[in-house]
Amino acid sequence: MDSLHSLIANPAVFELLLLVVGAVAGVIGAILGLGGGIVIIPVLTLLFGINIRYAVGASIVSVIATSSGAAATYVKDRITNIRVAMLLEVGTTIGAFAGAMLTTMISTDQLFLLFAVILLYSGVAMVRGRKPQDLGHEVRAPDPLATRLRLNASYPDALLQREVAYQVYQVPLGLALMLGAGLISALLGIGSGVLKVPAMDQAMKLPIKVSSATSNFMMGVTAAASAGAYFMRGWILPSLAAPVAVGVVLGAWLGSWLMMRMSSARIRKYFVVVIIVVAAQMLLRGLNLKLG
Amino acid sequence: MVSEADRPGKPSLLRVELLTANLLRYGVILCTLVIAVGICMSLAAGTQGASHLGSVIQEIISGRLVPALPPLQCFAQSPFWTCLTGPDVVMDLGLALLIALPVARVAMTMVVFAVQKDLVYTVVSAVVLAILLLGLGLGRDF
Repeated sequence: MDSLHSLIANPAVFELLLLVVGAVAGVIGAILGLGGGIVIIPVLTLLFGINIRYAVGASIVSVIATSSGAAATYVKDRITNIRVAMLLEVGTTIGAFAGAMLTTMISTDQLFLLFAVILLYSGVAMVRGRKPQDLGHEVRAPDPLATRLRLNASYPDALLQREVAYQVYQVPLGLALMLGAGLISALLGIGSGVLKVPAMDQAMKLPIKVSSATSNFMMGVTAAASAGAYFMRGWILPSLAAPVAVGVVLGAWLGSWLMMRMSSARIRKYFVVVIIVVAAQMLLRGLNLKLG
Repeated sequence: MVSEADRPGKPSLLRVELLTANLLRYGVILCTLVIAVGICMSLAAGTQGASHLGSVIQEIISGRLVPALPPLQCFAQSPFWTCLTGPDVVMDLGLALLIALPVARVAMTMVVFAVQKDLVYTVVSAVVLAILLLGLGLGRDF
């Protein structure tokens, strides 16, 4: 730990290491529909010993970078559902705005605990998930509200080599869940794809690839709603956030290229593993326990 | 994702998507370049005389919350354009542009929905944009 500290005291090494951390977070984030904060915050706080406020600030910026960098690819490939994204952003931005105001008032221990519970629930729900759902054959009556809002759509599945049509359900529930996702996003500096993807996948019945791409697309807007407050408070340190952001952009491009060439089942499997790991981490944090 | 409701002769939703995609793509490239240049400038400044970046890093890895780093204190107390000095200014500019990117994206989507005469989604976009601007504007006060 001391040798790492003397190593990162060299500015060039420090900036380069942060770039690598960002790149790794970007790849993981783009593939799983997460903002990358799940990688960035533990690495910066636990490994580099950086104050959590700064880690959250750098993470918020990286969330915007991941979202913007990878979303461009998803939109070009027509996976992102723009209408669903714009509609749900009403929920996430209101939540994020409230979160940015509440961040100094709420005990983070309680939040970590709450988050761990939500994550574990999401993980269990995704393991149980609807297996044949990727084929898009939901034999259910169309949702009237989703139809009125023209949310039902289709996307070209590169793996299945055809257009997959899907329908959207439970829009109000989706919106309500997005309020919570936005709140958590602003408080913890994460993209909260871990909450958005299950909300779209489980509650609104979107295909996992569409959920993941749309979540990634929405993250930037959600993060921007609280990034201003972090910036003004001085919690976005340029020498910390800048190299992380550059690394994340490079990693996100690589990650979104990889995602197009992987099966949904595989993405889902990885996603569940990440959910469990992060939940354990959040639980330990919330209980003020430390490993080792 | 081309809906049957998108009438011919008007910009389709696919076009909204492509416009948005390009805005984000080129915006990210621009921001990344600005930030990368900013990092190089800060590193270069660090090798001459007093190492600004080196001292900032010492503060950062101490694990403390440092309330009085000069440019940040300025951002917290003054309009941001009066704070555009010092070795980190290019990095700050790049980061600020990056934060502004999703806001520009929402504004752009709103305009295209309006041109499409898609009232519902124009209003939805306008609400999102209003919340974003409120968040940026009120950020300092919380």
